[in-house]
Amino acid sequence: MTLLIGLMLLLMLLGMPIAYALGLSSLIYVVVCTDISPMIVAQRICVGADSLILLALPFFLLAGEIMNAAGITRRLTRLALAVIGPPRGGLSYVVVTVNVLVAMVSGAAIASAAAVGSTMVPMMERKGYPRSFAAALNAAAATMGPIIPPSVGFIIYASLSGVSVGKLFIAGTLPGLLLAAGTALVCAWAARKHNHPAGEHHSRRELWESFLDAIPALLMPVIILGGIFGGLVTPTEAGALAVGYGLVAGLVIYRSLRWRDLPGIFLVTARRTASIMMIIACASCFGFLITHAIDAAGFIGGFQSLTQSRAVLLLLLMGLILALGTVMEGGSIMIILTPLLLPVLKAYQIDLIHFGVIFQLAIMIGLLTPPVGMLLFVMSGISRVSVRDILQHVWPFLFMLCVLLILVTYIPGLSLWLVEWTGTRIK
Amino acid sequence: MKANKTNNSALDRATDVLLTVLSVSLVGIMLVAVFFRYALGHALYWSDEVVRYLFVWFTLLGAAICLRQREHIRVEYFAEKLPMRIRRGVERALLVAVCLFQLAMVVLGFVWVWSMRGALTSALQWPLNWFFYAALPVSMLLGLAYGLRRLARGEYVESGSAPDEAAGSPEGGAS
Repeated sequence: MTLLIGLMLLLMLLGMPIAYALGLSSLIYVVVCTDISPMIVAQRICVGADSLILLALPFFLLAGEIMNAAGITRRLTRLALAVIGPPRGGLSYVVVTVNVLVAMVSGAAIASAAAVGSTMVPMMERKGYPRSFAAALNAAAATMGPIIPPSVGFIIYASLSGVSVGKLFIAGTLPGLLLAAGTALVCAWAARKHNHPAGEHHSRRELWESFLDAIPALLMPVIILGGIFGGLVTPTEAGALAVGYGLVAGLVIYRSLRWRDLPGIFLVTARRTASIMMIIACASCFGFLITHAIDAAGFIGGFQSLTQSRAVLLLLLMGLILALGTVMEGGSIMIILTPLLLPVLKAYQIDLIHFGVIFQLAIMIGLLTPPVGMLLFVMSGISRVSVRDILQHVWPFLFMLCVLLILVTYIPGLSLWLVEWTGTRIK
Repeated sequence: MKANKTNNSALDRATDVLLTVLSVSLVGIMLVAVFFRYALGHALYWSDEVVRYLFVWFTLLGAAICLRQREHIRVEYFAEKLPMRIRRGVERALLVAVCLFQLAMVVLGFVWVWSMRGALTSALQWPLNWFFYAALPVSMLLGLAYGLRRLARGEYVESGSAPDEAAGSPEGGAS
């Protein structure tokens, strides 16, 4: 048990790819410490990769990628520019709005941050915003992507915890919109404090034209979310529909996507999915051995000797996830931690859907905290601003995110009201 | 660092094509299945099964390709702190360990495939061991080949932080 976890951590921290660190430590543990046949490792990895729920992963990653390549993101930006118009700090609200719209199709933060940021940061700089503020805002706004459905993180969490993906998606909706409102509030504050330039006035005609142009793009979230929340299709099917519709929009309606771009998009997304899926497959083997080896009662007892209170436990877990989030990539934290925490959550009668939202939100904060904050790195690369400069402007957003995390944690209704309200309709 | 990009072998191209085809088929079959269920009113009996097993192949073959591309998600924070000479030594040892793990998976996987001969998939009645279980040893064999090639070429250090394609950082991972 100590060997299993210790070896895994050692290999992982030395820099072995996480998937192989999980697999290799499992294999060594089985051979050295148990009399189980080592074939179990091969079996568990195979079985861990076999999941219709996780199939939604490549689909939503592809849909997001196609959306960017087909210029759908660009059209949504044009619409948001025309709608928001003149108020002070107008462009920062445009960034928030575009991120909300993109989040309704894309399930990942990094890819959408790159797509939206690479157009918005230069545009904001031209209008007189400090580049470091533009980069910080784009990094912070991208955290909406995986909270507002669909969400790669929720799909992974669902496959690990057995909770319905659809319900998690619904649970993330309200916190996601609150996150958008919170980001806009910080923008309003910053616009006043730093005297940000006003937005441009756009004619009615531009508003109408950009709306017409964006209709096929706006239909994409309607199909995905309508299909899932209306109980018509499973999230996995909705993902496939989103890819299909995105291809039609890009190839036929907008004609902005070329056939010869497609193999590249499919291949790159496939590799990205596979690197995540391999971790999940190996983690399922690792998790199986842990639950096999662990003395569940003693493990839970350890937590209970620390605290009896659900509120304190949630605080501890939040701290743990945030601490890990500073040095680890988010999805991996979720994959490794969820199987370990499930028995504890059940012992404290914490709702698994509620915890999923808390988990995802805490991981998003991790994407913005150094030393390892992927969104900081990506935005730093796009905007050519150092991570240090971005950090100066990112802290108000981080503060807002932490407040939201506490609200979501201690007001379960924020996640669960909508789930109860929609009831059993979701597949 | 980009040496592996300039001399792509036929094997690299073939595996890339295979992964792309798998990826397209997953979307295609799923769409056809949705169409049959909702538009034509009768579900295909084979689609779930085929899609599930293709997805397993997709994952495992994709992982082997990621090993070639040095795109696997990993914690780089501490490795980057090491002096380059020590770091290369550590990374070489880790890559050797990954290769040994894959070798073990190839052997164990084929033993498993052999021991499960005769079992059939539930819907299509295809041989279960070749259609499903073989994905692991076959992919691990490919991964082993790529790992050994990297060792032979001295490409120990995972690039990771230097994405070679437009689609954002490979480290972007599950977030």
